Amino acid sequence: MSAFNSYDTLMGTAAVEAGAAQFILPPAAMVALQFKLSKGSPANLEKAAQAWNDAAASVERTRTLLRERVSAISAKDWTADDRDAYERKAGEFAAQLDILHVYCQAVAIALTVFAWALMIYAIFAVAMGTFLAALAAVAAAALAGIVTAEITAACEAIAATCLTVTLVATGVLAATAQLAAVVFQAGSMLAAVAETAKGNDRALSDFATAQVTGSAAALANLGQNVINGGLAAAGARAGKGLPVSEVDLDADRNADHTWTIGGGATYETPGGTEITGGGHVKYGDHGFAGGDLSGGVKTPAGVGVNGSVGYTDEDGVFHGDAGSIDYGAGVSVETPGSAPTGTGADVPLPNAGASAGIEGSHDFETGEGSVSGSAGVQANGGDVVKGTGKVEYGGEDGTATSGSVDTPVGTYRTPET
Amino acid sequence: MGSEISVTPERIGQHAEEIRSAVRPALEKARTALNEKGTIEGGDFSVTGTMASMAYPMGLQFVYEDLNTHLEMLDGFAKNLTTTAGNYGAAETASTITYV
Repeated sequence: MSAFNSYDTLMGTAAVEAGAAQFILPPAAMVALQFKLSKGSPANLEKAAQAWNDAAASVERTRTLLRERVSAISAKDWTADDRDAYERKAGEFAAQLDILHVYCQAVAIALTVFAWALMIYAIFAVAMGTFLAALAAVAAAALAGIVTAEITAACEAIAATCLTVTLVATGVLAATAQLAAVVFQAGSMLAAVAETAKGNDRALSDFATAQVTGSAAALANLGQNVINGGLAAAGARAGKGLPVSEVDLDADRNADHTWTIGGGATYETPGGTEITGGGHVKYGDHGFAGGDLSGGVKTPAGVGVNGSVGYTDEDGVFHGDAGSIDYGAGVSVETPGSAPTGTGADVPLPNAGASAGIEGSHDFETGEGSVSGSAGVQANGGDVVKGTGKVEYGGEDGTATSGSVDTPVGTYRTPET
Repeated sequence: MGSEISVTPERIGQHAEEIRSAVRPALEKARTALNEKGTIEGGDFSVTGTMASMAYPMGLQFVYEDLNTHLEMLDGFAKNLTTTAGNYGAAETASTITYV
């Protein structure tokens, strides 16, 4: 976990507060919808940013290594016209890597900036949610005749202003996303053009290929976000009624040209039991390359079980090396996150929960694998305390164990054995 | 008359090996880092951030393709250097035989 440890709890708290206020102050319902639409995962963005930083460092290292190794060849060992030609090519190569290095760093920075934009929005959302909750309490008191009834109208007017403020804040977040998008896309085009100028005649076709393969993933992300946006809006307007509450669509391709295509959905039965299910198929240059299945059930009483299994064989099933399997299972219990009301909409409640699970992997080619277990306590949908333990086996060092405890203020590790 | 030529074929062959064993793995590391941790779920950007979640996969694919191109370029360097070393070696052997 990271600086973004408290993000899920913050957004969960804001949603609870705004959701509760909507019953007294109607504009709060729209505020709650904005919060729901703006919930992302800054911790995942930060992880990806780190991968881009690592990639940038490796590109830089490659460039330095090549330069050093070329200049280390003495004049006595190689003085001829073909050396000049080779040094020119190696120089062009290094210049192209310089551009790639800058692009990787730019993407890492854009991801970090957007992760913090999400975090700042979460802090804003909690402040706004708390204010609305207080405002709703005043309006409720007015309605009940405890204070002057005219105040109710004033409270509603203030709540409407709060909605405007929230829409502006959401607009700022959307604009930040657009800036990040410019870095991702226009940045890669600029890098391709600049590399072409430095002698890479394939950079532009690399860019074109990326536009084609990337757009499948882009459409999946667009489809998923449009559907989830619609589901969130429908939920905010009508409360119940839609059995499917969330969908997940994926079409991603990795560096080995293997596509992962699939999706999942969350379905709610009339009795309030939530069922999730999903699956993916992996397909690469060597044909079928594995897949995964997952599912879970959560009852209205707050008890949940889930499980998943996935098989990956990058060089194609039945070809080359054997693949690897990932598996996991978990149980959880939590207090109800909402309570039904007479009006058809649910009022969200602050909630707490506990969970425990086990997950592991096994590589059929090397015989290596690991199994880990974890247990934790959550508040309003975010982890408050989480402990994990892990056993690794079959590697060069034999069997090793490790463990850690995450808290909102930091991570404590047990020494590895 | 003309430029002086001085060549040690073994050294050129050794440089080809350096590219295979040191330079290429360094670039391969960049590809591995992104391949393992670079993919971001659309929902991680939030629905409000859909613009970013659409553009991101294209940026990622560009770097995959560009890294693949540069890895192939390094393979080409190593192959040509080996050929060059081989040609110089053959020429040297041939001239030795002539002068004996």
